[in-house]
Amino acid sequence: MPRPYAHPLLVVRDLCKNFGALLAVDGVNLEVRDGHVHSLIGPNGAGKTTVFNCISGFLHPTGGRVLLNGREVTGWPPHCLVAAGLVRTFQITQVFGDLTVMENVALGVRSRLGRNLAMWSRAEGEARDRAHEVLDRLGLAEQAHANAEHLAHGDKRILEIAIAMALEPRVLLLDEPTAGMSPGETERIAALIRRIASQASVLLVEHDMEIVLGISDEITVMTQGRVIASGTPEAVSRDPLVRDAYLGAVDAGAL
Amino acid sequence: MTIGEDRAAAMQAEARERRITSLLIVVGAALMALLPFVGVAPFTITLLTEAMIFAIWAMSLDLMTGYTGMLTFGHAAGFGLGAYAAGYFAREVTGDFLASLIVSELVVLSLALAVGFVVTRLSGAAFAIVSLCVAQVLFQVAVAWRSVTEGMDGLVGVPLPKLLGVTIHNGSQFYLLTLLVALIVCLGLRALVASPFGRTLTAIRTNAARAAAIGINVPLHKWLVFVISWAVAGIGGTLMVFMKAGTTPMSLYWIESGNVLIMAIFGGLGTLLGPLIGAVAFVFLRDALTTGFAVWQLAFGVVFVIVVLLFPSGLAGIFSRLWMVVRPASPARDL
Repeated sequence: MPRPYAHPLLVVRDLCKNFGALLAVDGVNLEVRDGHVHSLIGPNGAGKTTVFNCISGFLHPTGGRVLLNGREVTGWPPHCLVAAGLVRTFQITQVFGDLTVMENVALGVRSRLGRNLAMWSRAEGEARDRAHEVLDRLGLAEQAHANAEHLAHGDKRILEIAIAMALEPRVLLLDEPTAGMSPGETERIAALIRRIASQASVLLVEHDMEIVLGISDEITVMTQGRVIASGTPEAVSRDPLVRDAYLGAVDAGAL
Repeated sequence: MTIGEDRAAAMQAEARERRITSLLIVVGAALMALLPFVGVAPFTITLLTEAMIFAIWAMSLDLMTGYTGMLTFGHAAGFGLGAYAAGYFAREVTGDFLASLIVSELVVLSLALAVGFVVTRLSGAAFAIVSLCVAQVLFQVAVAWRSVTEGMDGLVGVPLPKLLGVTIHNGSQFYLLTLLVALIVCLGLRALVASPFGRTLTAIRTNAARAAAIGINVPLHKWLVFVISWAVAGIGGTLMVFMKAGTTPMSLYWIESGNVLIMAIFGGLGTLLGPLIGAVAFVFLRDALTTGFAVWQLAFGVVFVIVVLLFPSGLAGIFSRLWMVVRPASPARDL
């Protein structure tokens, strides 16, 4: 079990982001502890993905700070954050469709090995071997040589995570990994996330409450750009504000 | 490759296929090198020389547009700049081919580094239009800077090229030199796109945001591709200025940028060999059509549209389909 007071690996302080007059994120604070699965939940439009984009360098925050393992990384471009150990996946599947499954993961491996710029083919065997290890671990070895766009939807979602895992992240940001999946596949992802937590801390945006309550060490609830509650799954699910604002409307029965 | 195929075998098959293709390219070049000695007309040799120069240019475009997804409407820039720099140096200093090539490359590289750093921050239509503007600015400079470029009259009086002290004084010798350079460029670019760097470019073309998310420095890669692409185009321009013994601002004009794009698309983007074939087809079709049609572009346009409609992946697509029929177990990627 994860340590309850493990040191915070990712710290977000007073994060703000506005698009013109629209304040999408309004002073969000959260801490992802070492080895934890931390979920970020809230109704559509609460600003979860905007928080994700600000943390992962795809948007420049208007205010606030992001600290990774004690180091200020606010506003860093994505490739620098990846090098520092912070990796994200996407809500809408974004695999490289015209490359094979293996090539998709090998891109991640090469990036980790700092070989994006290698203009010769030396030591390609190592990248491919490591890619195959990742595929083996995630159960995609059978499809290694299939074109990524020919994969079933569930397998594409796993590939999305496999590419991220090839980068050996310290902190993994998963944006709705179960979007559009069947219940069986959802369970497969839940087990996978739990396993990943032994290697990396996870910040998870997810709509499936069963998963969130089942695998999270900590939950942060957002509505309208603000955090309204944060704590253990038990504490958050008992919080009257949360029940009113969000859970009550969606699925109080699940609690 | 079939699903679940043994990975070592799959990798070997891929590498073997690449080696066979490279070997065929060398054999093809060797056969082409025999043409001047088996009674092929000098005029045809001249056309082939021009086709090989255009092939170098079109392959350089393919690296940027076909592999990295950076559509450019201004690819005459590197070519024309290389031609002016090499031509001016050859006339004023020495006609040595290698010296002229080095000087021309230094000029092209300096400008490509500076311009590329800015324009590769853009993507899509913005990049395409700004790259066109860059080429048009160079065109205007070539027209206006009369003391160096001689304006619209063009740079003339470029001497015959010398290679290692020996003057190249006939078309056949120059053809062989051009063929050799085109072969080196073709094999070099093939090695480049097959390298990890090449795979990274494919990733950027397919999905730039995803590429950034796996730690690829997208702006840096696009900048490098821009510089390499201009540098290779500059090699073509250097050969061209020696072939024509001069150049004019028209070598920088947007029509030329359009022509090289047409060659590459006609042949098949993202295959390198496609643009090479496209350049050969362009030169010979232009020659055939100018004798029969007052406006040859009109007739060429019809051929172009038919090929692109029937074979969206260009002339290379025709060959790779034939290859599929002969070898049904070949990999999913074309050529």
